[in-house]
Amino acid sequence: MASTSEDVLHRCACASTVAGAKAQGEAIMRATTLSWQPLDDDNFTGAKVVRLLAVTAHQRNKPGSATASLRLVPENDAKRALVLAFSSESDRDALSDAIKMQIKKLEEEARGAPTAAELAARKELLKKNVEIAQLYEETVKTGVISDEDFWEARRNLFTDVVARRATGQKIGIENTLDGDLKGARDGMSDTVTCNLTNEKMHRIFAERPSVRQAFLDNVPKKMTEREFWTRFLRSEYFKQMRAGAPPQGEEEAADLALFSRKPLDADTRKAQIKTITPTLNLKAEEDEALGDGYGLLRDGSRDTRRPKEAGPLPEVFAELNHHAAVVLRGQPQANIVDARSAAIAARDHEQSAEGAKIGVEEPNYLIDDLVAPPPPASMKELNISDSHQYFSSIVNDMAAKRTSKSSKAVIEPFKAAVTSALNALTHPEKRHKCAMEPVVASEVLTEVTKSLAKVEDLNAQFASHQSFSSAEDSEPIPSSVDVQLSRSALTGGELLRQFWMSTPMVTSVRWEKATKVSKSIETLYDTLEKLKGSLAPVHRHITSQRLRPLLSAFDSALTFYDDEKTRRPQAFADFEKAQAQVA
Amino acid sequence: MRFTIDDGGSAPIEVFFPYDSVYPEQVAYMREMKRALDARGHGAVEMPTGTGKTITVLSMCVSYQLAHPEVGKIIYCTRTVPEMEKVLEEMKALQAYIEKELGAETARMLSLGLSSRKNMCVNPAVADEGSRESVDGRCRRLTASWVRERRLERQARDAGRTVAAEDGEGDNEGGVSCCDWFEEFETAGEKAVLPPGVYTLHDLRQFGRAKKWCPYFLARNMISFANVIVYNYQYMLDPKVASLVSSALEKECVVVFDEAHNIDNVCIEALSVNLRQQTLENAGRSITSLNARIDKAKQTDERRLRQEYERLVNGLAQQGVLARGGGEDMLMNPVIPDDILREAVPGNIRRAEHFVAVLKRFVEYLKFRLQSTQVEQETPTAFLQHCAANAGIDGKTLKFCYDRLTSLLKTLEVVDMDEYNALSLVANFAALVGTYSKGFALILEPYDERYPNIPDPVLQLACLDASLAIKPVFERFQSVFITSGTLSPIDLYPKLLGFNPVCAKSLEMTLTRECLCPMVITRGADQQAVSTKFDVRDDPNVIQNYGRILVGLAQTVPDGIVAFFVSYSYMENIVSKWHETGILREIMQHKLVFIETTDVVETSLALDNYRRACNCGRGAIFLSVARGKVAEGIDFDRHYGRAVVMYGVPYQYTLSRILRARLEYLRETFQIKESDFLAFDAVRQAAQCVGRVIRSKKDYGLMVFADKRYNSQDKRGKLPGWITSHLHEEVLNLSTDMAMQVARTFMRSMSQPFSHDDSKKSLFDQEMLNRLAAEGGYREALPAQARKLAPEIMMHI
Repeated sequence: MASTSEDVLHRCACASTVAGAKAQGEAIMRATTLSWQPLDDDNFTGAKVVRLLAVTAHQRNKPGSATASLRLVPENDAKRALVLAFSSESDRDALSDAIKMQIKKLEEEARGAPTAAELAARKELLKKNVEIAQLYEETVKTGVISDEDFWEARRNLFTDVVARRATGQKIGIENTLDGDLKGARDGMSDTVTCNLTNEKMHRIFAERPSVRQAFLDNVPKKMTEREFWTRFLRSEYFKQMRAGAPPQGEEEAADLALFSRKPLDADTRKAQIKTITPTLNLKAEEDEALGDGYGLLRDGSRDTRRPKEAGPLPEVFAELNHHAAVVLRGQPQANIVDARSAAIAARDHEQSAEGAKIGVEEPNYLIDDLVAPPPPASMKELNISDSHQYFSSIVNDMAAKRTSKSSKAVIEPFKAAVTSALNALTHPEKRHKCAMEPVVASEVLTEVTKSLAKVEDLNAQFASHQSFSSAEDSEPIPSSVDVQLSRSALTGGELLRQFWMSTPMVTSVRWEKATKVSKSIETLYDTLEKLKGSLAPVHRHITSQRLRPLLSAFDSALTFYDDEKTRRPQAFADFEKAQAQVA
Repeated sequence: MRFTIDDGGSAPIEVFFPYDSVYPEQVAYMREMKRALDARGHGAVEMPTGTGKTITVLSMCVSYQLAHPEVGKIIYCTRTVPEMEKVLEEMKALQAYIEKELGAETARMLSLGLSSRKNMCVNPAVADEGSRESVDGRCRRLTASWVRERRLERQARDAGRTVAAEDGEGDNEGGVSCCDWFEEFETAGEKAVLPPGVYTLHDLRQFGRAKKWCPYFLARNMISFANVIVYNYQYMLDPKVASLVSSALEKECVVVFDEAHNIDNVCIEALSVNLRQQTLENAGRSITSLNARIDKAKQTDERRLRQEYERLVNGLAQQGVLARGGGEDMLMNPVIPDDILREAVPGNIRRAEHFVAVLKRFVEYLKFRLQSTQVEQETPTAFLQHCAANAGIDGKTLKFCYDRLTSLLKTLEVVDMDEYNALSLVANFAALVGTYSKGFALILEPYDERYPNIPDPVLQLACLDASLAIKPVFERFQSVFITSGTLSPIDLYPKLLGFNPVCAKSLEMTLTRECLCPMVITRGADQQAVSTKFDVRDDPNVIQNYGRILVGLAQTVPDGIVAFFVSYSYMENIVSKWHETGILREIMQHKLVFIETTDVVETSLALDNYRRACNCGRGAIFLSVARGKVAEGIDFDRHYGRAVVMYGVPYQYTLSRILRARLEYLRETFQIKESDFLAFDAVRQAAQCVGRVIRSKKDYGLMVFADKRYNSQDKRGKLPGWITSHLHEEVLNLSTDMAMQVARTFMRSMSQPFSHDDSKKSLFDQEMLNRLAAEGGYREALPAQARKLAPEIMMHI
């Protein structure tokens, strides 16, 4: 088992427990796994493997402990935890950091890639739908179209399956005000310890814009990150210890001022007011009132005018609403790796949230139970998924009714109506009632009758043609050819779709794709022509009729491709250069 | 649906109602309204919240207007701007329905909202000013008639000396610029009209932007053409604003005051003024600058001052001194009786410099009064006597102060009116104190009761009689309606406001299921009583128990919860205690917490986020204040409010001097006991708060009254009928744990599916109404049908 094909990225001597006893061994990190095995190479008892992506808890013990150890819990299952003991902290940290880096790398790689649920859905689709499977064979497997392109064009076929299967829910932020910044005293010395994680930093930056601003302004220009956090946490600690009493010393006062909440500037406020829906806009209400001096001041019914002398509001008041807004904003999309990225993510998230307020429904003033319930939803319209089957069944029906004069039945009544109209027009007594100049009208009608006659002629021709072709039908084309034709039609359709998706060909990537696709179009074209040539004359005729639209579509695509070369010479030149380099 | 309302009196009215069914209460309401409209009288109707008051009133009035074209406009007064928007949205639905039924041509109606310049201005240079005053001032500076004249003159002059202007001294007059929107509007003249339709403030602004017409003046102009006008109370009640905006309205108008439970307070506010040290200092400065202006005017344009003097000899009104057009209008005289306008202005203030000297003396006198170190309270008569003795200014002079100042500012062609705000406030004060001898009190407080160590002297002229401000409305308009979800006791309001309603009615609620669940929590789980009584409200046990209630509800109730506290200071106190003791943390494990702050922008944003939290299913709690802005103007219907907690009884601050003066006045005039009025006032606020959670009969909500005092008859009895009828014996004395049990049961039963057919019992659909009508009109038909549904409808048949 030790000899996996994957490269070993990190290895480190360490101990773990095997059957209750500590055993020396070696931890080996590969691209996706971390394994531990005892030193004794022949003895695999106690060897353990943890998949890196499955690690849900990654714990190092406190610095300065007797033995440096590392605990990795896969999938929240504490029973399967892997505990490793190291001879030195630096060894432990090196391995731990390497693991973290590797996990991050794996996660980033996984981000763009389709999720497991999506992959499963694709596989399912290929299994169930033969047509798609065939197409997949012919386009993707041959390398003409990339896998992603193929599925991107068919995303609608499995999105709901994925949505059902994948728990795509993002984890929100906890409601609670996270005030755990006071740190802990160890009780022996005067040291106060407070642990900050990336998430915690992000939370602080999101909840306290002034701290974020101070960070972005001062780190690393004026102070180091460590210094910044020390000052911030110290300031928080003192604030809580003093419990409202004024700060002691200049430094403390300066820190307090630096990190304290700042009122919003006028522009932000104005922008905020504009986003409020009119039915909630209390500012408009305030603007309606007459100014100070009018009305009663101390009438006992209101105490909205909070005097300055009453002291500042308790901090929790200032925090609550902002905190709630931050919670509603949710986790940021950006990846947070350190304090700076946390600060930037918090800032960007705040700004983007300002612009796009989600979850606000249109104000609704209806009294809902006075409205009659909506009538039952109308029937869903028939959706024909297999057009070939549908139309072939119609053709069969047609064959059955061939003797009926369906076309005549349509034209006869119309003709009769026109004739009667013509008669009416020429009738002298009814002339004055016409909206159109009678002469003109009669001319128009004559014209109509003439073209009607033409239609009839055409109809007759068509009927004869049909009878002719139906005579041919009695001798059907070989089924192998039929299958091949429909398959190449499918492939051709897919190729065309991919071709037009790569237009306009402005980048060399698109050129590359288009060239690849157009080449296979040409091949397919040739194959089809050859197939046509190899058939018996009767079949050749029918086949060429069936293939005509597809081939003409091919033609136009190829023409477009050639035209594009002259139309976008720059991009084409770039592409050719790139090709030459590759070669 | 369309149906006829026939009360057996005059001709039946066909009502257009933009829904497929109607509540029995709504039909009853319409009948009441029709009775009052037919009799050309006033009405006061209490209708439970969540039974569609607004649309009922609009439907009835508009339908009546269609049937009786002689009826004037419908003036719908709302308490807040958000409510105004809601009314206009409902009007849109009604308008669309009528158009569908009658065709767009017959139903050509214009409905619009009106607000202050601050809310309507589209000129970015003006609208971005901070406060209402500065926007008004800025607007006047651009649109006052003399400013525009001067600019036109200058343009003509510039055009005359075309080339010569290039030598450098082109624009040194401070750049008399103009407002493009106003100019375009003026140029369009008669053609500047709004096409029929419904216009919210936003729509008006958009229309103004598109046409480049000033929406504010356009709306002001269109008032005379509109069928439905929606605006704030003060445009009708406050004489300073009303005579400016509403003076052109005809007698036949129908006026509706919605959410009128606080109308007496609004009336009182409209006629009250308070003066602080700062105001008087500003006024002193204004006087100095006014003097300078008069001197300058004397040198340059004495003729104008002399003309003004001539006019003043003849009285103010005839001479058109006060007639204002264009954009220079400022607040009007705060005093209502317009007969003073016909009197001649007293001799001692006719000359500008004499008048300014009088003002100066008066301001000095007020400053002297403010120096007092003890609380003083006196009647206007006593104040006038003291003033005459010490400053030598008599009542009659004071009475004319405001109009004299307006005339002077106009004569001097002052544009930056906002510099004279403080001075006009003083003149306002003078006019009021000089005119009214009854129903007012002057109260001087050297400091705020709550912060006795901080000197902050205030001289308040408090109006005590609510009927003074609203009297002209009742006299002038043929039908005035007062309506709200909380008007209990209904007979008190006519008394307070001094009018005789044709109909005064309190409607009950017919329900298919018990969708209201009011309850009184009197004790915590530890059996200790909870109350916001002054002596126990800061007891840690009470605070803890109050917190437990919210924790329990947060665990039990889905979606949104609203909690109302008796005052900001109490909320501040209790929330910080909850924070310290960890209760807030416990609450936040279940729901997000939002809070109303004194900053309205922050509060609005918090409300917005609160709704989002409810929409996305996380659930949230909004902590708010009874009598605050949120309690007055924001609905917490449907999932935005599944439970509401009223912490304590929201009494007014009973030691307030003004309140004491008012109570005394009420006792002397109406024989209303002090404690009765206080309880009435507190309970109407509480009822208003809890009523915020119901929108329709499909909606449901828990209403928690958390104070042991609600258990007593004098509080409970004052709640509106639609709450008390659901307040059963077994939920009157609950402890927190029992209450949570009740809440759980309620939520479970309410969460059962509720189909439209189930609600048929409390709904009339078209078929039912037709049948009732066919069976010989509502009068005969209703009792049989409605006996078990709506005893209310029966009562007045």
